[in-house]
Amino acid sequence: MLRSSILGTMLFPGLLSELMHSDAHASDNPLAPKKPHFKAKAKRVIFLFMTGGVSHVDTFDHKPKLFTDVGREVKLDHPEIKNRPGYERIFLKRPQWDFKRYGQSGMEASTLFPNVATCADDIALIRSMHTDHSNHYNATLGMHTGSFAFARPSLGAWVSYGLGSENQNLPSFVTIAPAQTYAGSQVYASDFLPGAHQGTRIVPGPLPIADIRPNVSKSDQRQALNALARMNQRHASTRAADPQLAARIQSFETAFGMQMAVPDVFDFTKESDATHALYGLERGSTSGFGWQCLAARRLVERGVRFVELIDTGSSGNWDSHGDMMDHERLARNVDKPIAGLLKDLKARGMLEDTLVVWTTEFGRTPFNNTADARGREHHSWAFSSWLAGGGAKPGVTYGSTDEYGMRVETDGVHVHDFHATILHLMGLDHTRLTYRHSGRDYRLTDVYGEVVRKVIV
Amino acid sequence: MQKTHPLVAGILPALLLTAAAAAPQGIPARIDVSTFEAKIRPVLIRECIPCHGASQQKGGLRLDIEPQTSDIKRIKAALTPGNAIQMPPSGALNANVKTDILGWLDSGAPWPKANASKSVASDPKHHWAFLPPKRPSVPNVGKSPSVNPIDAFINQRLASTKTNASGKADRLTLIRRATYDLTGLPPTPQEVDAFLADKRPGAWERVVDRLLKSPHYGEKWGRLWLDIVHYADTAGENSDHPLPHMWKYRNWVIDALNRNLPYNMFLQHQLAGDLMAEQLTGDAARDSRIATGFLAGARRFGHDIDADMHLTYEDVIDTTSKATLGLSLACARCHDHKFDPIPQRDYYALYGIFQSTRFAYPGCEPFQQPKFLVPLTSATEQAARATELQQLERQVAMQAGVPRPKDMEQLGTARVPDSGSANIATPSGKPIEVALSAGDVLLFEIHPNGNHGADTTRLELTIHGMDTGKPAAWRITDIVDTLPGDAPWNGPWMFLDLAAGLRTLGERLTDINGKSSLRGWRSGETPSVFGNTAQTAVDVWTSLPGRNIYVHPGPKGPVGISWTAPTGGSFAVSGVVADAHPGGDGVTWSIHKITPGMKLLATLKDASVRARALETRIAQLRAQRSLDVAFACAEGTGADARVQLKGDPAVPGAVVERGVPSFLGLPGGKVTTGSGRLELAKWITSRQNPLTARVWVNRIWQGHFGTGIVATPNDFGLRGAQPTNQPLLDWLATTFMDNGWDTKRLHKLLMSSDAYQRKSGSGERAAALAAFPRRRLTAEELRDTYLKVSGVLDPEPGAAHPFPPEHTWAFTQHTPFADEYDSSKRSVYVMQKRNRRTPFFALFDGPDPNTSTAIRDNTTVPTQALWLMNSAFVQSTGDVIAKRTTSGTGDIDKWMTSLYRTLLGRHPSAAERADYYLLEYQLYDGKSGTTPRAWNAYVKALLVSNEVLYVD
Repeated sequence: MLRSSILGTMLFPGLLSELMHSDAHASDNPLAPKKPHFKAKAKRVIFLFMTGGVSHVDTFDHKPKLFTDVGREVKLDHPEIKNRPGYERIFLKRPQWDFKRYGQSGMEASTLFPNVATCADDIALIRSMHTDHSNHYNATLGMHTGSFAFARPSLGAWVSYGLGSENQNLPSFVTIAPAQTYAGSQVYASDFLPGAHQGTRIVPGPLPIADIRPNVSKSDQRQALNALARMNQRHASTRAADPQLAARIQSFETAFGMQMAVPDVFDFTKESDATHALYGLERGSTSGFGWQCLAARRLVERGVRFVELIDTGSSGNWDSHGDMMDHERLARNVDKPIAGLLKDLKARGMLEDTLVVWTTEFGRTPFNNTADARGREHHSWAFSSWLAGGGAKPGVTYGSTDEYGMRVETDGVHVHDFHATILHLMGLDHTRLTYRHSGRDYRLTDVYGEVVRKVIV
Repeated sequence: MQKTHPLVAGILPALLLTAAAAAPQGIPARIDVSTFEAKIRPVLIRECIPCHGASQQKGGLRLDIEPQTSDIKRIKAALTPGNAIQMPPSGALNANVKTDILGWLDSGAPWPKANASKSVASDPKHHWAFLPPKRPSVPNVGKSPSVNPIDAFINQRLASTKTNASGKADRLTLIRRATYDLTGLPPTPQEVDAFLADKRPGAWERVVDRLLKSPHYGEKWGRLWLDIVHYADTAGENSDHPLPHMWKYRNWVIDALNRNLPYNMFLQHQLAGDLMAEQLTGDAARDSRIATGFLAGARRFGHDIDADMHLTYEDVIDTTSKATLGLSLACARCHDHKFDPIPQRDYYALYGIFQSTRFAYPGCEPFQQPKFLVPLTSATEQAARATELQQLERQVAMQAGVPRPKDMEQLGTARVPDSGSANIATPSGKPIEVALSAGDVLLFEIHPNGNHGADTTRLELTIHGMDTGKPAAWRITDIVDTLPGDAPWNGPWMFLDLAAGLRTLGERLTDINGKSSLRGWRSGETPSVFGNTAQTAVDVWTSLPGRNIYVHPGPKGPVGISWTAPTGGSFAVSGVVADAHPGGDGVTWSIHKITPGMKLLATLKDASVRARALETRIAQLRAQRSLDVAFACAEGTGADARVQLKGDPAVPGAVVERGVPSFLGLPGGKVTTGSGRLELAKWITSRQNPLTARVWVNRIWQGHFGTGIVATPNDFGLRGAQPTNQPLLDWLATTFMDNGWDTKRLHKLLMSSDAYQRKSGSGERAAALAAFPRRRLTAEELRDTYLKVSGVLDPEPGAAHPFPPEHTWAFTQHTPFADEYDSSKRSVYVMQKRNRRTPFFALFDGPDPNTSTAIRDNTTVPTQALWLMNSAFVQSTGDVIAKRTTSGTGDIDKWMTSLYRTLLGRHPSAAERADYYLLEYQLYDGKSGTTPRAWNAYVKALLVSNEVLYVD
């Protein structure tokens, strides 16, 4: 038939190779897969970000003395109480959840995370995280970009820049966020890195990527794209070969592919009931953290390099000033899905080379201005995070805080160290992953950062 | 930048350059070490070291260190006419310079001993960009003397690499290129026709002149400057407060370019316009103050922005130095600059200047309201306005009330304790019955029990007509949906302030605490009567259930609601008075009968109407007062800054005198009083400053040719790119200054060159300007093109954005400002936030509103294609055009012509017509109605085709 044999898609590869020098094209594609600096333990990252500041002393940093010394007055030069009326005196506050040891490793976790705790032997827990700022905005920006004030490229953009993507029909860096978190789009921006590395934000729901759904039938669209290709070919044929024109022609074909690839990613109908149950996801539902976690697995399965899941937005999050009991609601939202994700990845043999990171912007104060205050304040001095899979050492607990969880006591891990370690697991040397901008070679870790060797296999 | 640039590539082969310029005249003067620095070293740096320095040693020769004896002969040979290798490749040295160099070589090339092995190129003081540009002679490339000097410089390079330049582009290409380049919009079919038909000499010049006069010129090139200064309509701190007056600066930039304000003055006004305004009057003074929005619009940081002002000053120093000098001084915040010779004290000298400047305050989470906005009217005008306001306010007060009638009959009263409620009833709990004649008035009063905590009170009130045969009931909640109405009365109900006599509530409220469902009336803060029109509760100072009426007494006096009986008869009054905001003193209600009451109320209504008229004028005057301000700068308290050790403001070091940077070694006025911004502005725009003019002509060059002569427009420092043609850059910079910093004349000069008018190309040919670099439309051009070709574009300049009123602001990092505003104006007028970029502009490589954008990215990603294929914006653009092209006859040839002329200014070819028919054939599915479907698809395809998306 005329339409399929002469003008159909089959002609495209030939047409394209005519239009562009294949080598020029390869180097022009910023998302072409790139070799790491050294052999990588992880090929992809799923970054779980708990917005608002998860209390370390109520979750993963067990402080028995905080239970017994409740009400004791402490004197601290703490950023959150300085010049704050009503905070002239502060007292230790008791954690509201009990702790248990889990697995062979005996990792300690509170009853807030009963399901994640069952994965203890796959987790490398870091209890000595610390950060530079006790404001949500700055600390969130810092955890994502290594910069606590200025806009800089996000961790995901750096990884995409360093390694490219293994699926050209999907973005290399995806952020699934039901709401914008602190610092807005800056947390997934590419900033001065080429725009191809910026995170594509997906909002859980039936239409997760903007403009993904054609408003004409697929066959009409195909014919229209063929007409477009003819226009563009005629345009190109009267001009010397120009890679940017060829890349533009290619981009429509890729987008056409994305229209199928993207809905396929988010079509969970072929996932079994058991898988749905594992993630705590009701069949047909397109919201909740279970949906986000299963979508993340399906994205990395298809070669997406970096997927970030943000659990809540800049309000209604872990920022439990008013009442720590709100942590229960937030933990319930994520606990089962996260455990499901770890177990599912493991069952599929993907956990080996998929790095799962769980973190937040800062911890919460072990004290408050009364011993029976219901909430806790922001605490940048110490918090907990963990890594699993992708070369993270299973079952290790690293670093410690003092008897009340106030300050890091041993093996402190700053945000820059955390970033350096994540890049290292991806086969990237954080001191060599640089980009020249405004006369300076920038890197994610600025001039800081040490790889935390002891949490690596 | 990894490509070998033509200058370097041209050195190894024997060169075509035959004739050297004039031969050295006279016997070379002997040159010794003392004159080396003055005469020799600058020439070596400018002409030789780019290829024969530390980074490359073409031909094994190195001239940044003392040359070997054997090299001296080679250098001499290269300077001798007729030799196979001629140096430098940019053209023969000027005769005097050549004499000096030969003299130096003949003296044995003496080199300063102390640092004989120290590379001169590594001495940053000798970096090319830090030496003042000298006007080079225009190379003679054997053409007629009328050749555009730009072409002389470029053609010489092309000749040296044996590159043939492409021919001249056709007229359609040229007018499309020029119209996009100067206005950011496509030419209209009529403009194309006119140019094609203009056979008189000077047709091109007339097109360029017309476009330079277009008001759209400033909208295109103003955007370039707004990119560099990272303009935004929000402050960028944690809750991203709106900047409702910032647009005046944006429009000032556009207007300044349109009226071709000389570039040196353009900079001076932005740095010190408030100080310059003291010598100006009227609009000139006003504009000059607005211009300092350049500084005031710097980004704010953190929660309490005052605590992070050191970061804002860093942003100001970074932006100012990048924008004007093409250098970042911000690196010197923590230590002396690593690469450029910028000492830390220069950073703090500037810091002192900006710290001595008062920046307008945008508001932030703990302090929501803006302050230090700069008044744009004179002190006399402000005083006159204040006087008029006072008089009007006094008149309003006099208009207001009537004395409290002495003969009111009290029908009932009860006390409502804190958090409690009380029925409106007799002491025995029955409805209060009363006989009324038509026009009698019932007055309900709510008194505060104490002088604080007189609080929000929910009121249920029902008046039943008791006469048989005419059952009727008036409920206060019936009026919820009609609040606030035009006047403080509503049917039989009227809202009163009872603090002294009776007066109506004066101020109409449509959104209390920013909640649109809370509406009503008040006098001052209290007393007030308002309703929650929503179905559900609204959380403000307390939770207010929906569909209810609330009253709030003043601290010292009651609030009242009157009801006028429409007919005579007996009535029963019942209801509930409930404290809606626990934690105060509670209230007391009472009911009174006024006989006769109607006349009294009529008097009140008259007074109210008169007062409202006055209040309209008062509101106007107040609005003018708040609108006629700019987000700009004024002088603060002049004080020097201390060094912040390692950039930490908590660790102060030595005091640094505020003033201009020292690193260029230029004289600059010492700052004794004031901030020193005027001194800084003069220093930056001094003719002696080696950077300012070069940086600007380079930006204009980049705007036309895609890449600057220096490919790093914000970095002319040691780490920046070398100029690909420094003589050309210096010729342009010196010519620009000689012409009075005239930017439009510079555009014209560039556009009149052959280089600008060539056929388009890409890659190395475009980089060498053998072909004109093809480019994609920018994000703004793309959106504006679609608006224009579909006839939707509103071409008038934009003004203020519809931000929520300042008194309602309660932005936090949890609920930051996050509005988006639709607009059919040009993209430069679309509201841009710092913390949440508008997705479309981010998708098509728009500017980063958080940091200076000197070069737009040029990405080609599939998500752009998704937008082009499926977005509602492109769909509706296509629909409008498809509809418009088919209006009239059903002749497809006519549709095609109309479509191609609208989008591309040309006629369709036979092949393109055939293409359309092919598409229609392919879409044919045996049903009727294929043509509209096919036409729609074809229009949309052409709309996103490369011929539309790229400028040749």
